[in-house]
Amino acid sequence: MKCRSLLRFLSDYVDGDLPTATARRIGDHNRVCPTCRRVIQTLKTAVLCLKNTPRLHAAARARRALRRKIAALRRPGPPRT
Amino acid sequence: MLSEPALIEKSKQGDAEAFSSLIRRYEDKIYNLAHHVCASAPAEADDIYQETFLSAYKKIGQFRADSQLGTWLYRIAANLCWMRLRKKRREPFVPILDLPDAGEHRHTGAPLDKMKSHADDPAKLAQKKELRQTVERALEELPVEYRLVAVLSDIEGLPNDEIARILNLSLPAVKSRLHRARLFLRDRLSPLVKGHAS
Repeated sequence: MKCRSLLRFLSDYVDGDLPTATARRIGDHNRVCPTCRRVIQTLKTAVLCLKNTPRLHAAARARRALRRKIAALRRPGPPRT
Repeated sequence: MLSEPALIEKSKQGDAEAFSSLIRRYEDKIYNLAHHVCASAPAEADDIYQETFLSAYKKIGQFRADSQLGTWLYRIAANLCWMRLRKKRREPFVPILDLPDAGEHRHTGAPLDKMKSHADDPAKLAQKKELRQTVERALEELPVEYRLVAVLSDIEGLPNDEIARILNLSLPAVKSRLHRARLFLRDRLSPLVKGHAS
């Protein structure tokens, strides 16, 4: 496998979504190509940074505002029997 | 505790309490999507969070039982992000689809496994923070259609087929956008990793 032909597989490779044979060819290439090894390491780092992004919560103010707006839109329920 | 289908059914009958229960299940997911897609305009994230659930409350009668509620809510939020951000597009996006120049051959920045193994080292923690901030800034540079895919995939952790349903794209289109977005982020990260070479 040549360096340029590896490019289109990179995203699937870091996700582990490639067929075994293709993944093995890329792995073999990486063992002898420091450039591609570096590219894949940096790509993995970028993806890991995104995956480790801290989870956020909507501010209490925004939550309260949403509940108020929903209450203002409240539709009458079905008639009770 | 009522099941999600039961809460949806009650919401369709106008039960705002049932709808509030549905909001609690999904509000952090929707807020995270809005926040990361609209990171350059935090006030937009609050608006999109609220508009998503207000729109869902008004349209819940149209929600089909054979769909996933989360997918439907993500779709509403993604459309709102798209509508707001498409007018703010900056210079044309040039995806990075080439190998780095020869200069990158020489550096030996911290690889992923090495970063993990030094989790308690203050210098490594500072490096990780800087890397994350760089990726967050690079994410803001992506056009919204690429940013949505990257956020849904790598921050929200959704599978590609669900992203395709949310964004009404083919699976190859999702994979293509994700691939290009990731290569762009990698390109932005590369000098920093190089700068941390030991």
